[in-house]
Amino acid sequence: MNASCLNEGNAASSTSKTEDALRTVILCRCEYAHVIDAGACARIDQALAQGPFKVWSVADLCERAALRDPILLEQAAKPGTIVIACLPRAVHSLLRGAGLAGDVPLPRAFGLKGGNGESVLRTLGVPAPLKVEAGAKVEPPTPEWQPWFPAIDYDRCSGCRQCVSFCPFGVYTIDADKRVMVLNPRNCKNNCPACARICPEFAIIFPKVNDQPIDGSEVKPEHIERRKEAVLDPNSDIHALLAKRRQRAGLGQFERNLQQREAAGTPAGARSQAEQERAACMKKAGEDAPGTAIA
Amino acid sequence: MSNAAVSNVGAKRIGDSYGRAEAGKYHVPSADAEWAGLAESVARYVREHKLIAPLAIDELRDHAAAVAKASDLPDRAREFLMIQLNNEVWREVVAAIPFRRRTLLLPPCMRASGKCPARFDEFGLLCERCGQCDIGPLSDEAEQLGYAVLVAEGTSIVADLVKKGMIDAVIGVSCMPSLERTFPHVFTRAVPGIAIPLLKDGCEDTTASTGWVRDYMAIQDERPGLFLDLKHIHTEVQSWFRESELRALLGAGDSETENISLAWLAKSGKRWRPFLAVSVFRSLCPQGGPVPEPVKKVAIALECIHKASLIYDDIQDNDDRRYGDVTVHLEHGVPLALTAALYLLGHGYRLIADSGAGVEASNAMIHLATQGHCELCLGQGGELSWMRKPEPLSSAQVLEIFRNKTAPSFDVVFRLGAICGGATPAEHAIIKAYSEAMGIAYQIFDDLQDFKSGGDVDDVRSGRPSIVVAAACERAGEADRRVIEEAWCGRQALTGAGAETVRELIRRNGGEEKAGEFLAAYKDKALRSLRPLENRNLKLLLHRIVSMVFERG
Repeated sequence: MNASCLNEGNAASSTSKTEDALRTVILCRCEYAHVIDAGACARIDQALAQGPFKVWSVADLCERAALRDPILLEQAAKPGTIVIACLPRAVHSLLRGAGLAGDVPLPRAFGLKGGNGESVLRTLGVPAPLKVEAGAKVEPPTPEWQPWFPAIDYDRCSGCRQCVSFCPFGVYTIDADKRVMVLNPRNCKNNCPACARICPEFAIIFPKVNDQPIDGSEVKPEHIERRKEAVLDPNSDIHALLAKRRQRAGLGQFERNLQQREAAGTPAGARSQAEQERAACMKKAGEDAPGTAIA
Repeated sequence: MSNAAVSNVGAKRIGDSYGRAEAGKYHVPSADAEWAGLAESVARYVREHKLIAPLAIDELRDHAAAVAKASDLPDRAREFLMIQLNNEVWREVVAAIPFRRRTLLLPPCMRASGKCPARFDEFGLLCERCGQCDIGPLSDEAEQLGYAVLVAEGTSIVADLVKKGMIDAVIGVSCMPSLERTFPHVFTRAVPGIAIPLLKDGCEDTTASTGWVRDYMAIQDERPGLFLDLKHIHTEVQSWFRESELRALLGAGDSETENISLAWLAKSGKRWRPFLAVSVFRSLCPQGGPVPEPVKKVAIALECIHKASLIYDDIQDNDDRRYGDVTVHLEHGVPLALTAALYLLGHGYRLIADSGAGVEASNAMIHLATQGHCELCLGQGGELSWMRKPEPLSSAQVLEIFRNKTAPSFDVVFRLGAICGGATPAEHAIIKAYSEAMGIAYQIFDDLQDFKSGGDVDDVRSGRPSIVVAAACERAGEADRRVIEEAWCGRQALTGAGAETVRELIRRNGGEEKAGEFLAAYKDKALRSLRPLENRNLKLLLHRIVSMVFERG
């Protein structure tokens, strides 16, 4: 599927609708990045084709945003446009980063991440197709670059500029309004979300990272709470904090393995033992969190 | 270099590996044996030249050039040599820090990308020890030694740990660009640290020499007194300021004057002065056990004198609040407040005289403290006279006022500690120069903070000798300058909006910017004054104090 192809929605269900009355839906299909489920994309695509929608499938919304694609900006600024992609906060931040002016209202965005698309369709009042045809496999938009770069949530950014001074690759700059902006998305290193992790406000989003809330999930009190814990009380003991953290993370299996290993007197780091433990840990991780993607 | 022949053998090999290294800006020797040869020549150089941490970037660059020249290493090795030099100057400091007070920082990019089962939380990567990369085994070994292990990007969390005294040393693995970025921060904070560059970088599936990490991780020197435990000093000093203990020490009765004074002395405060004086003493006299009684008395004396001066300050400035509570003169009236201040001042000097530090030391301390006292009065008096008849001042004049007004208080604190610790005349001279730069920098910093916060009592309206305002006047054109000067010298009553206009004029004419430059220059001057110090702990302490003082608030 071509990134810029425009799938005209089939207006069969409402014959009186003219082209202009159709609502534009921008659908991101970056299934290749394992952020959203391929089946969910296909389901949405096929269902919307039956309703009063004009669907524009893009192979990777991140890529369109990095290119500051004028068509993307034009479509996003149109009243009534809907964007369906990974997560709403990521979409909105990508659009602002792509140059959607601050006074232009953001389009309604739906998140497909972690879902099969049915709840999105329910909200839109569109019946889900009974059977989903497996469409053509969507390829990465550009073979030489899998779009990976930060998007800034300006509702959260406090302008502290830690990211600007932190990133060694010149991804960020300060714009004329003295705001932090992403200048060189292509300079960003794939799979490195380091700047997002140091952002004190959770304002940096990497849509393709598999970690909340820097994937663009809503920032929850527990995230802030945990960060507060990481903003350390000088009177606390770092070892106690790390122990507590490990406990909370539920690495009980790991601890047991470690004890077992110590009891057995096996030298730390023994490869074969580690392999077995890994299998055990991964099995356990799978049981604890069904649906958590472990590649 | 005397062992040039030996070094050269290693150098040939190392040079070859630089040639083979991946394309990129930086080059890291890729085999442990090569690294070991290079490390040895660097270590020898550091020993021969008696280099003491922290070294600034320009010092490292010069030394790296010297090592490269002596060992016939290629230019491209320079960054790596600088890192290795830095590691070696910190080695003894890190070795003296107990394992439990160190952290091992590994970069998450070392994990097996796509296969790593670990999740992230606020402390970084939660390693599952799956065995697919080196993070697990290295973490295990470090934790068995007692390290706090973090697998996290960057140093912000580590800097925070160091700043708060939770960790005293860092052994960090990182890519060269990241190390380069981080250096200014760890230098400013004087973080004892060992940096191990990644052999293969690129932010994914990176690798480091585990042997190299292990070698540095295990360094240890448990001889007592080598480690200056600031956290412990701080806790000990804080414990002296409970009211009951102060009462016993000062032999205070139950009169109203005594009660007001004691309550004020015991009331919150960071105990900076006693802490700094004791830290200077400890760095010169690194024996174990509690702080000796004479030093404790001198330290408490400094707090007595400081608290007395705060009462005067609050009266002079007509301030209502301090420590989030009403000021002494507001609560008890000016006459009693003045009496309490004098009472504390008397105790301060008495404590020094009766400290038991020996006649010579006591005399020297009394002499320094009273001399500082007189200088401060003249500095403060000069400012008050100016306020009665304000005239525009040049930035040089303002800096001179700062020198008189604040430098002596730094000097007294550090040098009383230095006298207790038996510092050499050379060390006293360094501390004096350092204190002067620190005092001026402190006032500039204070001015900048005031200007930025823009409260009701900003310097524009209350007419103080402000460096921000003076600098703006010097840069402003005729018209702007006249408006700023009118406001500064109080010839024109300002309403809220008028004051904001003047503030904007000051900003537009670069007042803040220029003051910031002055601040950087005096901080740098303070740090540079420490370069000749040969006492490892004293150099480290005074260096770190610069960041402690200017990172507050």
